[in-house]
This record gives sequence, C-alpha cells and structure tokens, in this order.
Amino acid sequence: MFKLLRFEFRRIRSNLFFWLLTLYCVVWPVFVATFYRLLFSLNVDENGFSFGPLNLTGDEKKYISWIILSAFFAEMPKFMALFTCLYIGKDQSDGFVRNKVISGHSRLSVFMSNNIAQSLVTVFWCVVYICFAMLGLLINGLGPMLNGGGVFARLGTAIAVLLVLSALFTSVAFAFRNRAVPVVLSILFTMVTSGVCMATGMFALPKAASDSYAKHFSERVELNVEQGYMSREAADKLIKANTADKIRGGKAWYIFHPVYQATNAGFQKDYQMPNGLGLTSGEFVYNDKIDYTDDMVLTALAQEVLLDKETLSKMDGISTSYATKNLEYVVKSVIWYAVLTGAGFILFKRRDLF
Amino acid sequence: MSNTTDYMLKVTDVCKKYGKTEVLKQMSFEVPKGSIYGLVGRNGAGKTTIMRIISGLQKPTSGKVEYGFDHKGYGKIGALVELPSIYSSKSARENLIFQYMNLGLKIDDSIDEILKLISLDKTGKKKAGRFSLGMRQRLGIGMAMAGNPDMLILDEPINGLDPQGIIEIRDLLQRLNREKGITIIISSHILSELSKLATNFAFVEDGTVVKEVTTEEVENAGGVQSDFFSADPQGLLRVLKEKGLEAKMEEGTGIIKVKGVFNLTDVVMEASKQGVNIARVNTRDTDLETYFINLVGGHGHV
Repeated sequence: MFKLLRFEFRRIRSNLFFWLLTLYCVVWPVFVATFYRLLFSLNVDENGFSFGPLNLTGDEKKYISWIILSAFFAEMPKFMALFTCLYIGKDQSDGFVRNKVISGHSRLSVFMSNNIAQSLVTVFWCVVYICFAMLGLLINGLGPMLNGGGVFARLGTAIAVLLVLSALFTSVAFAFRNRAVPVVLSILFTMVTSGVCMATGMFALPKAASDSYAKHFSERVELNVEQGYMSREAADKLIKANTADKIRGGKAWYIFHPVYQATNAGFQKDYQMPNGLGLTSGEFVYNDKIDYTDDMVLTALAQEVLLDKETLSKMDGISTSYATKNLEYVVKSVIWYAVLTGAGFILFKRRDLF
Repeated sequence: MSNTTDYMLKVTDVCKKYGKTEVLKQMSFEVPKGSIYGLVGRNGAGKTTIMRIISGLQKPTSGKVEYGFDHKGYGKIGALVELPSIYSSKSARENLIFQYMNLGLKIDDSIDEILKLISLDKTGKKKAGRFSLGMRQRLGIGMAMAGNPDMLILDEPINGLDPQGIIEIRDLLQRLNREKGITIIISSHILSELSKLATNFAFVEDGTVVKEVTTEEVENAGGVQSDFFSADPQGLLRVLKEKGLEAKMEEGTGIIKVKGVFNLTDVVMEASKQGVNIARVNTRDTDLETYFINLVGGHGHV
C-alpha cells in the first residue's frame, strides 16, 4: 500500500492539472475577497462612481468572511470530479492499473491508494483555499472575523462532506475503463445534485418544529381575532391554509426530509445559506445556530400575524446548534464515505481488466 | 507454493465466460521451468484471455492456475498483454521510474540499462504517446522486465516491430531466458519467429489446448511434405498409394498431400505410364505453421 501511495503522490506532483487547480485555490479566494472589498466600498453618485473607505459593522464583516471562507464547498465538487476522473481514468485508459495488478499489488491496495490520495488532494485544496481566503480577507480589511473554533469546526465539517464526494468520484472512476464516461457522469452529478440539494434543504424543518409553529401560529391568530385585528372568517382561512403539514411542505416533506436526514444533501442550505434572508433584507448576520424561522415563508407568516421573535425562539426544535449539526454531518460523512468506498471497491474487484 | 515442482505454471481446466460466451473451455497446460513457452492459435482462440488470467488481470470462471514459484511478492511476474501499459504523457524514462516505484525498487542506473537494452535510451523527454508502435512495444517489454521477474508473459510482443527490432527482441528474450533463467510465455502471429524462439508450444483452438509439444517434436513430427497438383487427382492418388506412399487428398481442392521422402522421378514415370498427368509438385519441410495447420485442420490462419 505504501509503495502505491508513494507512487500516487509522485504522479500527482507531476500532474499539471493538479497544480492548475491548486493555483485556482490560491488566486480565486483572494480575487473574490478583493472583489467584495471593492463592491462594499463603491460609491455611485451623479458624478460617477468612486471607491471610499470600507464601512462595515463587525457582524457584516463576519458574515462576508464566512461566505468567502466557505465558498470552496460550492466550487470544489466540479473540479474534484474532473480531476479525480481524469487522473484515475488515465490509469485505466493507458492501462497502468494493469501493471499494478500484475506487479503483485492487491486490488484493495490499488483502490485504496487512489482513494486515500484523492481524499488528501481534496483536503489539500480545501486547506489552501481557506488559507488564501483568510489572506485575501486580511489584506482587504474584511477580516477574517473568526468566531473562535466555531468557524474551523464548520469548515472542517464542510471538508468532511466533500470527502464523501471524493469517495464517490473515485468509485465511479474505477468502475469504467473509458475515462470519458466517469467524467461526464460525475460532472452531471455535481450539476444535478446542487439543485436537488437546495430543494432538499427546503424540507429541513423538523416535525416537532412545524407542529409547534402551527400551534403557536393558530393561537396567535385567535388572539388577533379576540383583539379585533382580524375577522373570524379571515382567521379560519389563514389557519386552514397553514396547518403543520402545509408548513412542513406537504407531501414532498415526506420524501425530501428523510433524504435530508440520511444524506449530506442539506449541507449547503444549512451552512452556506442559513441567513439567506439576510441577503435580501440587508441584515448580514453570522448565525451561531440554525434557526428554521429564518426561512422567508415562515418569517413572512410570523410577521403577518404579529408572532414575535421571542415566541418563535421558544418553539420546540425550531433551532439547532452548529455543534450538533457538525457532529451529525461528520457522522453521516463517515458512514457515506465507508459505503461508497466499499461499493466502489466491490465493483472494481469484480471487474475484468483488459 | 513449493519450489520443488518441475513446472513454472500449471493451468488446469480453466474456463472463462463473458456473459453467455465461453471463451476458454477447460484449458489445461503446463509450462516447464526455464522454458520459452509459445502459445499458438488463431484470433479469438483464447490466447490473450488465458494470458490475462495468468497475469492476474482476470479471474477464471472455474479451474485452477498454480505457480511453481513464490509469486506472492512484488515483481515476480512481468507481463505485456495486448497493449503496452504505459503513460502516454510521460517519457520512456519516467514510465520506467513509475514502474520501479510501483515495484518498490530503488531508482538507480538499472533504469538506464533497461533503456539501453530496449534501445530507447536516446528518446530523451519525448512522450510515449508520440512513440511508434514498435517503440511502445519495446517500452512495454522494458516495463515488464523491470525488477527481474521470474516469469515473463508476452502477448504479441513483436507486433509492429521492424525486422531489425524483431531480431533485437528475439535476442533479448533468448538472453533473458538463458542468462537469467526467466521463464517466458509468449504468443505471436509470426510463427516463423515464434519457432525460432520458443522451446515448447501449446496449440490453442476454440478455447482449449489441443496439443503441447516441444520444438524437437515439431521438427520430428512431419518431416518432409509434398503437395501434388493434377487434373486427375483420383488417378494420381491411386498411383501414389500403389507406390506405398502415405497420400491423402484434400477435400475441395483436390490437392494430394504426401508425407515423407520418396523418389519423385519414380512417381512421375509411374504416373505417366498409367496416363496420369502431374501438373506441379511443391515439397517442403514441416515447420510450425504446417504443424499447426495439420493439427487444427483446414486452412489454419494464425
């Protein structure tokens, strides 16, 4: 195994595409940080535009820091898919994988050495990206506004989630002799799943939270009727339109919520867009917990019936700490990594090498 | 694995199926230690498949492959099966370095020795993808040779080589076999070349080995064979049999095949006496090709 790991590291070191992607991880976050700095210091008036001093609050800086630091999560999968499938595919199409097997390496060693190498490449790119994002933020006066170890725990969780994709792409690349097929499949997967993941994240609301929300919502509507703010007829209509089931998302919740719970599909929604509302309302807040009432629909509903923030925060299961979520995602990632690696190895073991 | 066996490799009743297609049908043969073992057969007979199985690239559907040496370590077997397994974007030297790393060998001057041996020492940084077919074949053989394996498996190693290249590879393989005692299993469509190289042969037909022979057995098998052409093949066959010769008429063509040495003048005179005209006679010694054709029947096209 160590022989093959040395082999893979040497091969990766001599791979131009690997260095190009590393260069991307160096340049892009610095560029994005610079872009944000320019964007937030841009003044547009009747005389044209000019760049003034950066005038952001600590919270705003913290929020922007997080967005830039965690951007690798959305950007890396397509590059990982391309690199992993081309790198392993080259071994398959040029036939060097046959040399490894003929030389006496077990198929497990061949598979795992690639799996480990690809995982380490993923971690390497993420770390480079994060380091240069911090540097970019620092030189542009945006931060990084780190929140103790919390930010690093979240970033570490994001890397763990990406490692699952690395295992998936490795397994797909090993399943085919032709390297074009895994490249196309993996890129398609990243394109399709980003939409599916966002959709899945919409159904993150736990059952207890939706029940509690519906209960508080109807109580507040009744109070509005008592206080004469609302007619009986309008209240009945509103309560009927916002039952716990409807708040959850109807029948789709029963399909997507189990997917959300069993997979990492909700990660982007939970971590990168927890304060999507902030983007539209201009309230840049770096959240310390996932608050499901940050959802635009639930917020609008609460505002409509005068449900205050304090009442919302007391509802059952309406928020989760990131510490809990980190643990959930890491555990899920470990399980999925093992499952996908195992499945990939079984496929490779059974495959005839031509 | 015991080292006291006489064989280097023993294949017993190996079957291989791809879906419903049975490519190998209870194939059995034994490769003696120190031999150059030639696999002879038509396209699709199963030579490459058995070579893939022996080298561990594929698993047999049933049957047994036993090695007469400790093959568990790294680099005990070297193989070039069908296409050379080389990185097209790397130079010959880089490819050998990767093969050395693959085998866990120290990267030293022996790489240059191999490059010299396969006449690729002057290719510099030229990428293997830009090599000619012959150069790629030579590099493939060089990769297989790395680490001094106990057994070399070479499937069509002289494919695409020019005459000079063929001679060089033949000399190289004979030297490896003679000086380092490496057992070589080799297949080739160029039977004249194979007959100059191999010490043993297995004739493969329709997924099975129909016969295993040594070079001596091939040479002694048929001796001289003559083909008679005549407008009256039946009459000529009668004359030849009357002269006590082992004659046989080939179905369809009317060519009469006669084994062994005889006095041609006697035969021609006797035929003339009986009014049978002989148009042409071709006489040749039995070679590997003739042996193969005689063995598998029909117009064997290897």
